[in-house]
Amino acid sequence: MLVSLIRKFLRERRAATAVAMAILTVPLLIAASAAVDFARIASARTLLQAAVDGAAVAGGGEWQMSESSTSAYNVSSNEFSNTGAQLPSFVEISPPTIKLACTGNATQCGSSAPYSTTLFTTCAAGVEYCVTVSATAILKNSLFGWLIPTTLLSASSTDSVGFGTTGFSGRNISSGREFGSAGDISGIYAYAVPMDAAGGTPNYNEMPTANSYCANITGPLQHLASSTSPAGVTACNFLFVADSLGDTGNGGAISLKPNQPIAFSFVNETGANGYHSTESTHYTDNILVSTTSSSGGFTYYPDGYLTPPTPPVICGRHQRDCTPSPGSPGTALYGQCPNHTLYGSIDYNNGTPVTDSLNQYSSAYEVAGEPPTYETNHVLVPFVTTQVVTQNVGGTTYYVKAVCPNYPRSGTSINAPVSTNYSNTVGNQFAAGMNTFSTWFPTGLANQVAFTDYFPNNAACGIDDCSPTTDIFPPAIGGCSPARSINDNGVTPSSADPWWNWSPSNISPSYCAQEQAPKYSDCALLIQPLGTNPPTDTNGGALVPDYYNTIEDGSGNIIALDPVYDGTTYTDLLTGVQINNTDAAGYTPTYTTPSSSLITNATTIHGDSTATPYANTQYVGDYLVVQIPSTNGVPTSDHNPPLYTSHKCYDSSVAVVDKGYRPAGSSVDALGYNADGTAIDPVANPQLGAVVCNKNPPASYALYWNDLGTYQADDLGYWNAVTTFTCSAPATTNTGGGASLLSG
Amino acid sequence: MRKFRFSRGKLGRRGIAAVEFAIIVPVLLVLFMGTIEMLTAYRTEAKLNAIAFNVAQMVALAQSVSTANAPIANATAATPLTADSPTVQVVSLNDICRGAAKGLAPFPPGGMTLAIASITEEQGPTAQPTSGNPAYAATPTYDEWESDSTAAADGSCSTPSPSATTTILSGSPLTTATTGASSMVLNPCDNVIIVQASVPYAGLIGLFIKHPLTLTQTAYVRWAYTLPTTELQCTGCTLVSAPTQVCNADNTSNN
Repeated sequence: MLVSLIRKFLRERRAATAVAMAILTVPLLIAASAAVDFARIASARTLLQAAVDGAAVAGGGEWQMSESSTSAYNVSSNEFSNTGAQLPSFVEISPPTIKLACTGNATQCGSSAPYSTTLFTTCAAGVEYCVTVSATAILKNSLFGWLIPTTLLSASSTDSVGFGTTGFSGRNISSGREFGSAGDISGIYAYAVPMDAAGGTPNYNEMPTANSYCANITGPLQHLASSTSPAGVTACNFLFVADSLGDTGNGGAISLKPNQPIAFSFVNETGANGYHSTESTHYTDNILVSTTSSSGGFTYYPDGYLTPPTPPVICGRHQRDCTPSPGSPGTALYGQCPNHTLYGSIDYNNGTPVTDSLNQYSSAYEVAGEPPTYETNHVLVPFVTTQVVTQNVGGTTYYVKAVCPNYPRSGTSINAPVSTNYSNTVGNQFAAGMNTFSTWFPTGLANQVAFTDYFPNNAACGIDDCSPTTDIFPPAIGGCSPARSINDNGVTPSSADPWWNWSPSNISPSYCAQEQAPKYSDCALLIQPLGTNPPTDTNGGALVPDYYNTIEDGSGNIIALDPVYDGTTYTDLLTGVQINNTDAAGYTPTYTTPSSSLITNATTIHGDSTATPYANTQYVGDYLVVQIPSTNGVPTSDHNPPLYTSHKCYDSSVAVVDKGYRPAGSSVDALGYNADGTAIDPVANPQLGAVVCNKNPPASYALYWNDLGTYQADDLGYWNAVTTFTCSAPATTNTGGGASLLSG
Repeated sequence: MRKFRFSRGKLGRRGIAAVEFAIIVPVLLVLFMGTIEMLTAYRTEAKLNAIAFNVAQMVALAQSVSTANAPIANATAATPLTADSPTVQVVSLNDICRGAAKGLAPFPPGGMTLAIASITEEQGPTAQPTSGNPAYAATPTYDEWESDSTAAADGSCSTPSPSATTTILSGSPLTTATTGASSMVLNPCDNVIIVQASVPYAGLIGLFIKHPLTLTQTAYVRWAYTLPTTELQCTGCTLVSAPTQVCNADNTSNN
């Protein structure tokens, strides 16, 4: 029966199409539902991928800027949520997995959210930050759901971010025109502190070599330019700020990564080079002349010595250019000191005079606990040139060597031993009274050899034989660094100009006897923040404050300086701690003694105009100490920091800073630490030697620099560099925070 | 009778296929057209998503943007770059819109709207007082700008006026710290770029319904050049909350 029915069904031709369609309906529905669901899956996957991409990029960027792993995590998570919210309701998203990796230091990476200190395999090599976002979602299939109920979606994205750069061009430098009246020719330059290979940590002990383009830069740095430049570089890698000739603000270009510090370099042609002169001509005062040999038989003569017979034939200034006629009655002989050198230096490795006393200092060394000096500054002594000028006059050969320095003895007020005692230099170039004070420099301890071999007979001046083998000349003096700040035992700086002078008491046998712990007084460098709205001169450069008031704690420790501009309406830097009313003499009459100036907060005169309640109470309980400048009564001519800050270095984050820091059991002071042993933070303490240009409007800084010479006990008259520096406006030169490298 | 029966039986099978086909065609049409329609809609949505995200990326990689019709060249043969030339690349939002319209092909771009907004936290609640406003701000302040363009059928884009109404920012995206744009700008100078791309999707459904479906996709990205002192600036955009576009992570912005 069944067989018969089947045979009948197979023979039946009616409704064949319907049957065929009925059969085809299943695959058709499957195909259609699959197409629809695949489209839904593709769309959802695209959106999920966009969500993880955006989250990774946002997290990397946030980390790069905030240096907070917590912020990076939160921003990444929030960004994912915002984009993921667009996914339709039939997609269930799981919370994303956000993995963080950072190869920087603790400050750069932040510490709240966990992160890996090594990069993931998906990260680009050599980056600073890497953020990987992975997410899964379950999509409920619709028409296809009867066969496959759900589809698991997954997406992952990795953002790798390095440090970007901010360009600074010399044309954007706005600097004040104040500068020292030193006999030296000096210049101040700004440079980018080199970063380590990972790009995260500044190497404060490194200063870049001036590239070949610096040969055209203004000021003495041009003499230090190398012969090469890296590929792609088209400008000097130092920014010219100002020099002692009155030039300001142009030349050079540097690029900075985020939070890369700027440091300053002070370049000084040591020793009255063209004292009171703006030219580069070198005059010779003293010469050694021999008629027997180029290596011996020399006798000292005044510069311009006339060869017999007289009257002489006067040649040009430089003997090498003089060719007297045979039989001429006489010739004036002159020596020739090396370029850049009127007061010589010696090589610290062997004590021999070097041919160039062009010294370069770095402010950044203070960050590492070193005085702001650099390798070329050595012991300053007069010296005899090794170069011999040979002249034939009337058949006699004259060998002439110059005794340097060579500024004219007449017509100058310098009371320099080298001129008053130059006879001592004959046969003994390291005479009594010579300036042997120099500065220290990084790694100097390891490289320096005993100087005593080169100062054999000068015990009277106190410079010799502190130790025959371990002398460092001079050890640890003058750096305005808390790590090196050692109490000067009450030594009072010179009354003539306390900020710049050394105390004569430092120059004594007892000084030498203390070796690494000498008395010291003055700071060599002060970088003082002036805020973002200091008064400016007609050139747009920030004005150097007329003087500063100090904020001191109950123990008398200086914790802040507040600049004062006499007779000028300006925005107070430390609002709430200063009354900016001026009397006829230009000084603040309200506070005259520290005891009466306890800051009680709440009201100040803001900007010389309106009484404004102010909530910043960080100095409540501290004292405002009005520091009348040394040039009281001449309001515009002081321009020095408070007198006693010159021998009382301070650190705003650590109140007690003048005790130095030497770890227990150690024979040397620790580098890079405050007096209490905490690490020096250069950003929080720009006065230590480096600044970070991260303010908008740009911040300005006053720079006070002393090359550690002095006219008191030194041989020369130093009053070095005072100027201001204003960071560039970053918005116009920003080249980006670094594009993200997205993968995944 | 036999003849009739024969004829009816023979002729009765004629047209059966047609009848059956006529019956099945509407079902097939609905099935096929529905499938195509859904695929097209999802395809359009995916295109729109790609457009929104890619536009957001383009804006994020611009150093500065403008509503000008053409990109602003930094240097030409007549006016080459000099030492004092600006170095900031200005990207035209209008140019981006026209590119997005072409990217929508083969779907018609007419009526596509592209709303581009940037939100940057200018300063946080702990900002230092400035000379003009020496009081603390109780809440963070934000710099916000937006530019909304509409594409025509030929792919050209309108250039909105700086005072035009805004689509994204009018929705108060900064209301909470956990959702919305403010959740992505936690610190001063943090930035989020929001791009909302919409296109009216008519398709075959449009033959039957009066108001066509509007597809909308939104992308969120962060400006690639975000720095502690810099924010993305737009020339000609509608500035929502601040007259100047300056931020500072050090909380010393002087707006």
